[in-house]
Amino acid sequence: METGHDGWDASKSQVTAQGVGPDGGGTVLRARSVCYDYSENGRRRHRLLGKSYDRNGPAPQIGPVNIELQDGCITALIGPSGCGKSTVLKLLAGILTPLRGQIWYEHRDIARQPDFRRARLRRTEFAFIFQDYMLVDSLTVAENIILPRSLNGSATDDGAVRRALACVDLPTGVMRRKVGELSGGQQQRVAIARAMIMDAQVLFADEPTGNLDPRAREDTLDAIQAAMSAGLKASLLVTHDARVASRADRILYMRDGRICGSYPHMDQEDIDRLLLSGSE
Amino acid sequence: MALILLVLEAMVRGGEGADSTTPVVMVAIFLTSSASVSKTISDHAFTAQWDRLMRIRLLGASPCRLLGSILAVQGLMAAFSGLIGVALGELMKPLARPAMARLDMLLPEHGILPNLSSILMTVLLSVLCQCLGAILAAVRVIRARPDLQSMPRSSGRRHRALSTAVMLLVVLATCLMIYLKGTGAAAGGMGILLIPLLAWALIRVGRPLLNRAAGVIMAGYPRGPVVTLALRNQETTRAASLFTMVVVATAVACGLFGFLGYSDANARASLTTALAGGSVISPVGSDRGALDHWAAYVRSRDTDPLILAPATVVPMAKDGAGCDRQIRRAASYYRGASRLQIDGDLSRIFPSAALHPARDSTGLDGLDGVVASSPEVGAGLSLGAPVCIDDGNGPARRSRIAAIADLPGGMGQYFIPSHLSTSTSRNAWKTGYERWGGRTPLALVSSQVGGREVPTGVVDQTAEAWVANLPTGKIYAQTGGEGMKEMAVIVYPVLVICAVGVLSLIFTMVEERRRTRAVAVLLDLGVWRYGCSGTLRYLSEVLPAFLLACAGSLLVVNLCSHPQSVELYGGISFYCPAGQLGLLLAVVLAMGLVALVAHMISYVRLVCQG
Repeated sequence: METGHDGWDASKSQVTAQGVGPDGGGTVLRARSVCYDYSENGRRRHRLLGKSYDRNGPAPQIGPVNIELQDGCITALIGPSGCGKSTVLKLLAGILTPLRGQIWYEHRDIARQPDFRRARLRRTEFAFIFQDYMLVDSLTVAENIILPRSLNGSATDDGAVRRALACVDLPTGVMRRKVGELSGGQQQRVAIARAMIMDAQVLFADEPTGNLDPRAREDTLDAIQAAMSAGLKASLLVTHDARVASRADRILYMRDGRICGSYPHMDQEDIDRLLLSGSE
Repeated sequence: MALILLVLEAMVRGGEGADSTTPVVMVAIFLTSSASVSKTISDHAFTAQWDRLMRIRLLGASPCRLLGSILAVQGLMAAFSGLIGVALGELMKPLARPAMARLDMLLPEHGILPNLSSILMTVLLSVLCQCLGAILAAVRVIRARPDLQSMPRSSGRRHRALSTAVMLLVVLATCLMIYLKGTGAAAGGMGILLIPLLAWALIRVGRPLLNRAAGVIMAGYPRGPVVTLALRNQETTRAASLFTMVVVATAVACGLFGFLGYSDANARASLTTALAGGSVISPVGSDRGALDHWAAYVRSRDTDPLILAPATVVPMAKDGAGCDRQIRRAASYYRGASRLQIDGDLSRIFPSAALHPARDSTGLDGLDGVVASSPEVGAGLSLGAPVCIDDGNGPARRSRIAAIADLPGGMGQYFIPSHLSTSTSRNAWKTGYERWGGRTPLALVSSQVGGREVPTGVVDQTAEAWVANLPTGKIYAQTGGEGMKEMAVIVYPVLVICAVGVLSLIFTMVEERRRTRAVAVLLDLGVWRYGCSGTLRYLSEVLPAFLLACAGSLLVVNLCSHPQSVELYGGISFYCPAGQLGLLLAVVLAMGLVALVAHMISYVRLVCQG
C-alpha cells in the first residue's frame, strides 16, 4: 500500500491522489496545501504573519492537505475520531475558509472566493448529507428537497420531486409529511433526493450512516451509489465505519490533521486493520 | 400608540411657541427603547432557531440573502402589527385625550381627528424600529460559520471587556468632572446623554458577570436541584436578555425622573431661598369680586409688590402675520401658566438675582414686563429680538427682548417690556379686575402675614408653603403642565414596551426549557420546585439588573445635577425618585409571579400529557 509521510513543511508535497498528477484529467475538485487552524487566535496569527511565521511558529492544526476528487469516484476519508476529517470536508465544500492553500473547482479557486459565491456553489453544485440529516424540521419532505433550488430562485414542480423520491426508493406519499415524522434512514434518503434534484456535481457526506441501523445504512449507501449513477460526478464520504468505507472506490487515511495514506478500494477487514493500527 | 399619534400630529401640524423639542424627545425615546426591545427579542428568537438558520446557510443561503429574508419577515410583521396598533390607538384616543388635557398637554378643544401623515409615520417608524433591532441581532447570525451548532459567544471577549471598561471609566470620569467643575443646565443635559452610555456598558458587562457569579455560586459544594436548575442554563443565559430590558427600563425611569426631580428640587430650593421671609398672595377665583378683594389686600400688605400673572409670548413669525393671529396660533399648543408678567422690581424681591446678572441689558432694576422661558420665546433669541406679547391689556402687540438673565427656579430668561400705558403704572391699578381680569395673578410681598387677618377669597401663605404646594415638576415644566405627570406620560409607555418584551421572553424561556422540564418530570421534581427554579432563574437576572441600573443612574443623576444646585442655592445632597422606582420594582417582582405560574403550568401540562 502506498504510504505518505508526516511533517508539515509546506515545501514538501503531501500525499496526492494515487495515479493522477496535479494536472491530471478527470479531477472534479482538487485541494492543494490546504491548512486550517481551529482557534481564532491561530487563524489571526497565521493571516497576519503569513509565510515568515511558517518556519518558526506553531503548525496549523490541519494540513497541509492535498486531496483530489475524481470523476465518477466515491472517495472515503477515514481516520480516528478528532483527526480533522469533518473539518477537511467542510474546507473542500466551501463552508470553512482555509488558512492557506487552494481548492480548485471548475478552474476557480473557491478558497479565495467570498462567502456569497461559495454559498451559491453550495446551493447549485455541492450537495450535503450529514449525520443529523441537515433537514429543516419545520418544512415538509417536498419543501426540504426543493430548498436549495428555492434559495436559487428556481421553480420546481412536483414531478421532479417525485422522480427524486423514486430514485432513492421513497414513496411519493411522504411528500407532504414533515421530515420529523420519518425514520432516520428515510430522512437521510430525503437528503440524497435533495442532492439529486439540484443536479449537484459533488456530494459531501459526513458520517451519513452514523445514526442509522444496518438496514438503513445499506439503503443509504445504495442511494448514494444510485445518485452517482444519476448525475453526481464525485463524492467524498467522511466516516470511521469500515463497512461504509468499503463501498468507496478510493480511501484516504487521515491522522492528526494530515493525510497519511491513499489506497484503492479495500475490503472491510483491511480497513478495520488500518483504523486499528494506523497508517503502515 | 395614541400618544405617538397625538405627538406626531402635533409635529405635523406644528405650533408656534409650542415646546417643539418635547415631541421629538418623546418619539426618540420611544423609538430607541422599541428598537432595543426588538433587538433583544430577535436575539432570543435567533438563538432558539440557530440550527435551522445555520442549516439554511449551509445549504446555500448567502448572508445577504438570509438577512434580506429576516428583514422581509420582520418588516412585514412590523407593518401588520403597526397597523393594528394604529387602529387600537385611534380607538384609545377618546380615552387618552381627557387625561392628556388634565395634564395640560392638550387644550380641551384640541381635535383628535385621524391624521393620515401621522398614521403613516407611525407604521413606518414601527417597521424601522423592528428592522433595526432585527439587523443588530442578525449580525451574529450572518457572520457565523454555517457549521456552528450553537450561537457563538461574541468574539474578542478581551476587546469587549476592555472597551466596556473604558466606556464605564469615561462615564465615571465625566460625572466626576461635572461634579467638580460643571455648572449650569448644560451639566444636567450632559448627564442625560451619559445615561444611555451607562446602560449600554452595563448590558455589555453585566450579563457575563452574572454568568460568572452563577458559576461561582454553583462551584464548591453542591446546591439543591432548584438552585441548580435556576443557575445552570447556559443556552438561555447566553441569549436571554431580561437583563437588557430591565436595565433599559430602569435607566430610562431613573434617568428621566431623576433629572426632572432633581431639577425640580433645585428649582424649589432656589425659589424658596429667593423668596425667604416673604409671602405669596393669590386670589381664589378670577372673577371681579375675587380679584378686587385680592388687589386691595395686596396693597395693604405691600405698597410695591411683585405681581406675577400669565402672559403669552411668541417670537415674531416671518410670514408677517399680525400679533393677534400669531398669539392665537401659538395658543393652540400651550398654556400660559409658566409665562409670567411681572409688575415690580424684580431685584428687590429676588435679591439673589445678583447671582444671575443679566447677560445682556443694563440690568434688572426697575424692569417690569414679561418674563418668558426659552421654549416659548424660542431659544437663541438675542437682545432686541422682536416678539409678540399678550398680557391681557388690550390686543396682542409687538415688543422686544429687553434683557436676558437666568432667574432661579426656572422662572424664565427673557424680559420683555409690557409697554404698559402710563395710566397703568406700577402701583396705579385701581382694582384687580381692571388689571388682571380673567387671569389669576400672584403677588409676592416681602413680609410675612404676622397677625393680619386674611379676608375670604384670598390665600396668603409663606413662600415656603407656596413652593411646597406646587406640583412636582411644575416649576420646571416648560409647557405649564404638571411636570412629573408629563414625564410619566413619556416614561411609562417605555416601561410598558419593556414589560411586554419581558413577558415575551418569559414565555419563550418557559418553552425552550422543554428538555429540562422533561427531565424534571421524569425525576418527579415537583411542580412547585420546578416553578421556583424558573422564578429564581428570572429573579437572578432581573434583580441585579435593576439594582445595577438604579445605582448607576442615580450616581450619574446626582453627580451631574449637584453642581448646579450648589451654585444656585447651597445644593441638595441626594435625590432619588423613590416612588417611581418603587413602582418599577413592584412590576418587576410581579413578573416573577408570571414566571412562576408559567413554569408551573408547563410542568403540569407535561405531566398530564404523560
